[in-house]
Order: sequence, then structure tokens, then C-alpha cells
Amino acid sequence: MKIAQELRVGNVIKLGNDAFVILRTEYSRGGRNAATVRMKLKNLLVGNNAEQVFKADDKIDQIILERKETTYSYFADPMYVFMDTEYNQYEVEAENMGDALNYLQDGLECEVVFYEGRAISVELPSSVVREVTYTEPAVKGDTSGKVMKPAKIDTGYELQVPAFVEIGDKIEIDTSTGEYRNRVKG
Amino acid sequence: MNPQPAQRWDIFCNVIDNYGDIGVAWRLARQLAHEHGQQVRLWVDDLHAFARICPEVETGVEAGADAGAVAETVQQVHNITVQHWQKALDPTSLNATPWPQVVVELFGCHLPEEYEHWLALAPSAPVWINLEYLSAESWVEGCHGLPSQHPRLPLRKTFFYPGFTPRTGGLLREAGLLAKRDEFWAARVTANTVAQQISTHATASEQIKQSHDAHPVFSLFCYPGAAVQAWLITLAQSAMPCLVRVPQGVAAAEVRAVCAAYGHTAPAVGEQVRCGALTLQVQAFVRQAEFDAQLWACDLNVVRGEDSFVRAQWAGRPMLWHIYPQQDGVHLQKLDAWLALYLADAPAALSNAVANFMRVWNEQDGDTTKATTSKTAALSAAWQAVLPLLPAWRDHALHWANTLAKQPDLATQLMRHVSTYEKTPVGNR
Repeated sequence: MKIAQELRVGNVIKLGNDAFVILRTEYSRGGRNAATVRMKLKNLLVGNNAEQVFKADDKIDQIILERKETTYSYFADPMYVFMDTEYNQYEVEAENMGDALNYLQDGLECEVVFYEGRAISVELPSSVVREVTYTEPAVKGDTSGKVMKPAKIDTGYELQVPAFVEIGDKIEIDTSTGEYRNRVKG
Repeated sequence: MNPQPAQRWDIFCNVIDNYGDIGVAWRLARQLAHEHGQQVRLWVDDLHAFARICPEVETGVEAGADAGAVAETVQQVHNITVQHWQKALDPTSLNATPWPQVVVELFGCHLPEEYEHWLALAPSAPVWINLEYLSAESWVEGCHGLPSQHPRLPLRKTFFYPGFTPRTGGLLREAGLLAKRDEFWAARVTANTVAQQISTHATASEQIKQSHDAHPVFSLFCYPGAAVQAWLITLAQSAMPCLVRVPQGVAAAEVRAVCAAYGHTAPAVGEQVRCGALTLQVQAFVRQAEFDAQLWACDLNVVRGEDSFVRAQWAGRPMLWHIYPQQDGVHLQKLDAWLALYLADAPAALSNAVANFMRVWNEQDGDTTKATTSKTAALSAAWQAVLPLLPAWRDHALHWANTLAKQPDLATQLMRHVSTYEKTPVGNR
């Protein structure tokens, strides 16, 4: 069992009698340090998509399914293809990739998740490091990290970063929230 | 006024701190019962906080009741069943009560497990609503009305967000509230006209008193901290006399500090002291029903949290929002989101001055408990910038209130949600 804010794209959860794969999560902070997690889910039994929202500390049963460590290989419309260390290939439907697409690049290490023998989703590492491809120029002297601005990474995904971040900087991104964590040196 | 049949509502309120939780819960309960004819049972875990805004609530049952002795913890207040919510619920006592048709958990409070399991046994699943915190942030529109399937029980709730835009649940507003406000103002205008006619024959001391009454009056219902102390110092050092009304117990340390600087002790309830240009008046904590008139009567209201924040907007007067401080400056994002809506139609000069005043007040830098020289200087500058704009701000505040009033109120929207709710499984939507 996990609390909602620990769940990530690609996890499979049980709600009632149904199994759902998480396609997207959006973490929002409410009043008094409370928070909610909005999820886009796909019902693995009937195939329907649904959006739901949970309190960040709601306890939800995660279904532990078979999974394999893979790396992203290529896109063969409409399937994303992943390969394990023995060169077996696994195809995941584009629709099931969810927010993983925000961070996908060649060679990305991730886990392919299987449900009843079928590859249904991928689980990303808890964070990824990506290069900033565009952002407005850095503000001199502001190293507080409080002032934020938008930035893009090479997949086109846009997120808020501190004002001191520049084009070419490598940043660590939390894949469960999609938020900036820190700037990576070197 | 009551086109829908009466349904049984259970509203759960967990009082975390202050009076905002119970303030919203009680206001909602009253409106549902009195305007919409619903049968409301309000579960409250802190009757003492409740009694401060509603003195009819008896707190004695709280101290003497045994855990689970539900029957001893029930009282009727204004035709609403008030149930003391104790952490250990007795399932047998629940079985003795009729099933609710609507359940509201306020501000994401967690319902007792025993209660959830009891609900799951109901012959017809209730409409279960999680009424969330008020926020002007854009993500609220995306989450408003979304379902939330219980992970293990055949129950589903809906996340319901109050808000300022048509794609949210709206704000609590009783029928006739703005008309009452306008009547209050009309009565004051009449009274002032009479007073002016009398003043031509008044004695010198009476004229001084009337002159003082003409000075701006501000109300102060904020959290403690550096900002309020800095503002009171600014007012005291100003050339313009003013009166600040503060409820008993609110910002007490800051009031004491400012009074001490002028050689006074803090005024007792009902009394006032003069500190430079500032007259500080401490008032008794009023019941919820009387709070609005205080806001209507002031030239600027400093309010906080959620309940008084909403009431100040309906008051149509200039207001400063002391937002509940959160970690990582999250509250400043929420403040900015609201300012963007509140000031969207305001002239640029007013917008800049008002936004700056609120940001300076709410930013936490350095010592958050005492007014530092820099905090006082920043707040003083922000106040001086906004002060000459009070008349324009007043016009804008009224415009904002009237704009908000075009949307259905929160209780009405909840009633609509309940009447149109479809109990279909989440996965089959």
C-alpha cells in the first residue's frame, strides 16, 4: 500500500475491484500544507480512461506486477519500443505512456510493467536529469531559488525553474510531480 | 425557496486551529438548513472553538461525555443537529441513526473508519463530497468536480472546490446578503445626515468627537506576526488619525507591544487607547452573524484565512488578506493567484499599490514575530502608496463583490450537484 503522492506514472493501482494504470499525475498544494494528487487512469479491465483526484495521504493499494528493466529504444507509431539486456523488445501503446513522454529520450532506463503477460506501461526512475534547452536569461544576483521562471527541456516539456538557471544547465526533475529539484553540476 | 426535498446531510468539521474551519462549516450548515430546507447534522471535534462564534453551543457535554456516548453529545442549535465528533465512534450508536443521503468532509478531513464502513452498508450509497480549501489557482478548475473512488469500499466521493470563477463551486453567500449590506449603508448615510444637521448646534467637545468619528476606521482580524505590528506602528506614527478595531485575543502581543511603546497597557474589552495618531479599540469577539456589520462599517478590513476573507469580499470594502502562512512560500503563490483575479479590472496604479501592500504584508523575511526596522519601512511605504487610493479601492471592491455575486453561491451549487449526481461506477464514465 502506498500513499497517493508516492504513486508514479506507470504504477498500477486497485480501486474497488478494478485495476488502473496511472497515465498522469498532477500534485497540487491546497490550504494549510494539505495536498491533492490528480490522476489520469486507464482501467485495465474495460480500457476506459478516467480522471480522479485523491488526497496526497490517501492510502491506495498498488498492484505489484511483473516488470523488467529496460532501456527506451525507438518509437514505431503508435508503439514505444523498449529493450531488455537480452535484446528482447517490448511494445507499449503511446496512450499508456502518460507523462513518461515528458522525459523520454534514447537510452532512458526504465521498467516495463506487464499485466496478464502484456506490456502495459513504463515506470520511470524517481528523478531524471535533463538539459535546459530554452529559458529566459538568468537574473543576476538572484540565487535564492524563490523566484521562478519557465524552462523547456529537449522533449518540449516545460516546467518552472529558479531564476538563476540558464540554457545548457542540467537539472534534476522529480518525475512524480514534474517539478524542478535542483541544478546538477558538471 | 425550497424546490428540492429535504435530505439528510452529515457535515464533518475537524477544527485544526483558529475559527476558519468551524466558521465555514457553521455558515454552510445554516444555509443548507435555513435556505434549502435540508436536515443537517454537523459533526465538530472542538465545541469550544464553535462556541466562540456561536455562544448557544454548549461545551459542557464535551468535557463530561464518555467516548462513544453519542446520545449525550448531541444538541440542537438553530434547528441544526450538532454532534460532538469524538475520535472513537461507537458503531452501535451509528446504527441507531438514519443513513445520511449526503456526506460532506470539510477541508479534506478524514472520516472515521467506523463511519466509512457504516456508510458502505447503506442501501443506497450517499453523495459524498470532499469540500476543499478555497484557492484562486488555475489548477482548481481542473480538479473541481472530479470523482475519487474509495480504494477498498464501494463508495465514491467528489472533490468540490470553492472558487472565484464559473468553473468552480463558488463562494458561500446567503440569500439577501448584499441587500442587507446596502440597507446598512443606506441607514448610515441617513444617520450621518441627521448628525451633520445636529452638529451645527453641537458643543466643542461633541464636535471633536464627531470629527474623530469621521477619521478612517479599520478592522483587524489577522494572524499574529511582524506585519501587523509594523502596520500599527506605521499608523501610530502617521499624521492622519485613525481607529483600529481588533477583536479580543487577536494579535494580542502586537497590540500590547505598540501600546507599551506609548506608555499604555493594552486596552481591555470595550476600551480604547490612543497611541500617537492611532486609536486602538479592543472589541468582544462577536458571533458569526454579527461579523458582517463590522466589516461593512469599516474603511479597510484586514482579514485572514478563508471565512473572514470571503466575508470581506462580500462587504465590498477595501481589504487586506493575511493569508495562512505555508511552507516554501506556497501561500504567496496562492495570494498572487487571487490578486490576479481581484485586480484584473482595477486601474494600473491601484492594482500595483494594492498588490504590493498585500505582498509586503504576507512575505515572511527575517524575524516573523517582531517588526524589524526594514519590515516597518517596507510596510510603511506600501501603506503610504495605497492610502490615497482608498476611495478608488472602495469603488473597485464594490465592483468585485458585484461581479462575484453573478455566480451561484456554494450552497446552491452543492444542492445542484446532489440533485444531478449519477451513481455510476468511476471506471465506466
